[in-house]
Amino acid sequence: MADTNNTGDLNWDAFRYVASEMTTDETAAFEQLLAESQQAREAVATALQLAQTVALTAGAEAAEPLATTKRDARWLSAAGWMTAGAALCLAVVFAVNPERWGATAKRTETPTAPAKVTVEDESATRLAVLWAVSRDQLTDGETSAPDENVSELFAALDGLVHQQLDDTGVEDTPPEMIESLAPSWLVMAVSGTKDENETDTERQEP
Amino acid sequence: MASLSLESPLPAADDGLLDPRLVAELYTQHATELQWFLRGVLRDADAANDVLQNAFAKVVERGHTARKESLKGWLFRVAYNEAMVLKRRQATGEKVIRRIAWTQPQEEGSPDEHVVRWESVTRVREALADLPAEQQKIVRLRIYDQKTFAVIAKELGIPLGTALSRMRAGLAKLRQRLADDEET
Repeated sequence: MADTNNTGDLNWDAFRYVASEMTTDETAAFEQLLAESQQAREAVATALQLAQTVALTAGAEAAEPLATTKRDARWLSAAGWMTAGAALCLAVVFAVNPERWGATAKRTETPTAPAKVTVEDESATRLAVLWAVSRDQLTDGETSAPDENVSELFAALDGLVHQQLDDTGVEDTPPEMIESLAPSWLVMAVSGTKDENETDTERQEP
Repeated sequence: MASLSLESPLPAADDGLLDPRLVAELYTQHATELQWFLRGVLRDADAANDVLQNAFAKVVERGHTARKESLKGWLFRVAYNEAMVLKRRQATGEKVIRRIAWTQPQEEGSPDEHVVRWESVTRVREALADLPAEQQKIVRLRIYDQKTFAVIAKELGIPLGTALSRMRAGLAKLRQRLADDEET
């Protein structure tokens, strides 16, 4: 057995001891050392704790749902933001305002009021859930750095929504502006504004 | 709380036993590490817990007589002696089962302990990924797959000494990396 006065040797012997990698004679000698040396005893505790923690990383890796390599994360990020972008207008309202899920979706316009609708769309609901989950994964600091494109996209969306919710209120926003930037039901859902004409909307024919 | 290094006998309560506050302090400071040590000796978490309790019972009864050496060392030595008595008793007349100490089931702990443990796992995982490939492979085969060094050497077609040295180097790097992380 190596000279156990050396810390490195002691740590190594401690690991071999807890790993049952010592011969019978080596084990007896090391146990004699344990009876005399507090340093050796602490080395055993440290060796086992380290080995146990390493063993636990196997379970942690098995449970990892997405790739943790930066290369894979970047690929997922690029594909993800394109998909998210395509479904963005529909997805955001459901992710941010789930109370709106299941409401009837119709669009009405009157000469004096801009279009106001609420939304029901199960497929959009599922898409929104997928988007919300993807967003969390894509911007999760634990697995990857936020993709620059994703961050810009989200910032643009946030700006778009907040632009609609200025102090003058949605009702004063010209219909053409609403239509050009985002559906009014999206704007209202994000703002949490209650649709005062909801019942009328439901009764009206498209 | 007074220093745990002894210059004179520890304060005893009126009944001659060690001051309960000191016992509690000792437990808080050393029980976890002592438990790891006992598991390393006994390869059995339940037996380690039993010995831990016995050791602290002895601390209560005789701790006030401890002198000259640090109370931590005294505690560990008492616990070790208890563990070896148990180990010899278990081995008497039977073939000793050579178990790997870290395969014993982890005890459930408090939520805070779970958090600390998960943080440790995360740091170790990162450190493991940074090891040279050949060291990382040996560490995984030995600890994940629980293969002996002899089997690993044979499977990889390398000398036993090479397998051992790579494992030793890998563990040393892991230990150093974790120590550096704790300092920052």
